[in-house]
Amino acid sequence: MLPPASAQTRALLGLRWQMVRTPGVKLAMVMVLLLLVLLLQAVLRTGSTIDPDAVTTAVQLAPQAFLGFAVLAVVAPLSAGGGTQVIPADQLVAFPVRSQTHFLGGLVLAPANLVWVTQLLVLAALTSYLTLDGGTTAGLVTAAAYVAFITVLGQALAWTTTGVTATRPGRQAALTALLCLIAVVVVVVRLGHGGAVLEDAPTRLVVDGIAAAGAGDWWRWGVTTAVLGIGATAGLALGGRVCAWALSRSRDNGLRAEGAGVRRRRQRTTAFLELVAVDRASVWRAPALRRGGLVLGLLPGAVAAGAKVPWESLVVLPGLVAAGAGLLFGVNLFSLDGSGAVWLSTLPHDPRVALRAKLVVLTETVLAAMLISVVAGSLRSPGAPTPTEATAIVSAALACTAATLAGCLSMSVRRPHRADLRGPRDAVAPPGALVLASVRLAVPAALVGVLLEGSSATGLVWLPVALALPVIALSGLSLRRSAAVWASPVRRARIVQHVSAG
Amino acid sequence: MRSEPVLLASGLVVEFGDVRAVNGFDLSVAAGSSVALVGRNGAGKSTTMRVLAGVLPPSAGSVRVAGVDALDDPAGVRARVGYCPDVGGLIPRATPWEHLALAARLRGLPEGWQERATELLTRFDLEPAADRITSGFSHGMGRRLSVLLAVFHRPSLLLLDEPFDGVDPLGVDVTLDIVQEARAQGAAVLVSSHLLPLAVRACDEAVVLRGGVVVGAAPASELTGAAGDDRYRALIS
Repeated sequence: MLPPASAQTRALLGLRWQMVRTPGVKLAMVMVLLLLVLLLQAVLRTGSTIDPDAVTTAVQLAPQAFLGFAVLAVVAPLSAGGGTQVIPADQLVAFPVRSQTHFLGGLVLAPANLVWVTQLLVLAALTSYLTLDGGTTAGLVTAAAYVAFITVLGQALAWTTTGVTATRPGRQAALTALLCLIAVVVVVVRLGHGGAVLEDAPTRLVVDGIAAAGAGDWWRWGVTTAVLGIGATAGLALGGRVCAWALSRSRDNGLRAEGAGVRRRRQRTTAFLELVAVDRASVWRAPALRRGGLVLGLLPGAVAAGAKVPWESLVVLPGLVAAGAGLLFGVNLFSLDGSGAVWLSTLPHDPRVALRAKLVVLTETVLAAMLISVVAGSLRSPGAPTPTEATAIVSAALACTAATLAGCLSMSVRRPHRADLRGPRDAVAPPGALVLASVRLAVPAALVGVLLEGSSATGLVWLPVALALPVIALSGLSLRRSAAVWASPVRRARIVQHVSAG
Repeated sequence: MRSEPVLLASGLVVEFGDVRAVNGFDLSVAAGSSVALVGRNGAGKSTTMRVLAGVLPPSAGSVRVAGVDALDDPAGVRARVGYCPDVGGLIPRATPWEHLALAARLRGLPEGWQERATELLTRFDLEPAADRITSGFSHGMGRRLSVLLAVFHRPSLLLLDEPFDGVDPLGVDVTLDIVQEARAQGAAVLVSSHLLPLAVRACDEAVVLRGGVVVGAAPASELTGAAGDDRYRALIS
């Protein structure tokens, strides 16, 4: 008799924790957790310190914020092929792991996502605003029930999609459904009903339930919380079954991709271009990276377009997209070579050329994702950008690209990991490492974005450029330091050993 | 005057922290000869091969390949070496043809490499899979491709680490033929394997490694049959 899924999940999480190699990384992960607790406490107190008008505006936007969390709860596990893996599937083939364990593991690791955590903080703040007159604890219970319910639901939906898209007809059906959804959204937005639809979002019921705690309407609060709690519990049971079904489905696309072959391309004229071509193929032939790239290219721009973001606010977008693109594969660049890194290191070439090739592929991925997002986001931005706003967007794009490249290369040479990237759920690094990497990439990108956003309102065209230049210069220095690590034969051998292990 | 051996390794030491994986390894292999590197698991065979291939820098000692010092001119040594790693050694989402095109470009092979590549792919029965990504390969196919990539540029020193592991009898025959051809063309060959009968078929001499040190050597012919097996067991234990 196998142990229950909860016990298996505990065992896998324990193993994952033991697999963290350096005490410094473990400490950093604990510090991030503590920081989150402190931030949570801080945001709960903001209601009494900020302008009452701002509180009123925030409360009016609460249903949209709760809806935004729901969208994330669906998109995040969808882009991970069903949810984050505690241990990669290929390392668990010899162990009798229950399907429910995979589902539960993904749920436990759902918070290992910077955007999820940020949105959670926003929901916590809104809950405190909705219950300024009392009942905050009860309101938080409802908000927590909502987070649990929607996370379970999102994960179950993601597994359903994973199961459906295992076969060609399923993929066609999913694509049709997605196109229909996009068409409906476009029509609704173009007809000017977008705001009304958001106003009437079902999440308003949740917000009303939380507000009921503040107003002393305990019946309404109780019903809302109970429904969410029951939904989460039912979703947990249902999700485990859906996950089992999805995992039992034979995937025809993975086998086809590996078995059918690819079109033979022309040999490139130089060693550098040949390396770039191989690295580019290594990215786009990995199902997880391909899907992540598509989500990254389309989603931020679509959200920005839907929200009719003003030009000034678009300045923040390049940084966030750059950080996301870096997380796709940039934080563990050399894992693209897999065990072939050993073979590559026996070929007579300048290792700096191989490094440059990988940076080129990362740069083009970051810039392409950025360009798509900014262009899509700008489609519905009101009016034309001022020269300062346009300069700020370009400056932000360049500075954030440089900062992302520097962060990615630094992590790639200092914390390399083996990553199979063969399956649709494979990630470029273990979950904990990805959390730290997301903090390492997103914080500077967000700071640069906010700084340049502020500068775009000044009307001084030279200011965004002046602010971006130091960031680019510092990133250049960081890139040089990381390149020196790669140039060292001993350090390079260590990187090769890590990415080719297993 | 006797010419310098193709491979000359002396006093090689490899340390991983407190662990000494290779502890004063000495070996010379002359042109046209082949040596089997045998020993128990963890004896230091693969680590030694990695050092000789230039993947891993030694903590001490020196390696010369065809008169070129690995420390002074690592790229020059790599140009003369063909290496098949013990596991993997393939870029997972690249095809065999892409591996060959990359090797041709990085090694500066002249136009016409395509004929040699096609001939080898056919011999190793990999031609039908030349445009399939290698992550879908069976273990044996991966091994065959690794051997193919090692011999592709006609190296002066051929290093084959576990080339027979998981390979079917036809693939083994091709690998043995390839070793003989390389020797006939003047290459030195070092084969590391835990499959003694195949290692001694491929080589004239066998050296036994234990604890990162060469503890014995014997002509390959003396390590065949039951008597050879007994002698081998005595050497490694």
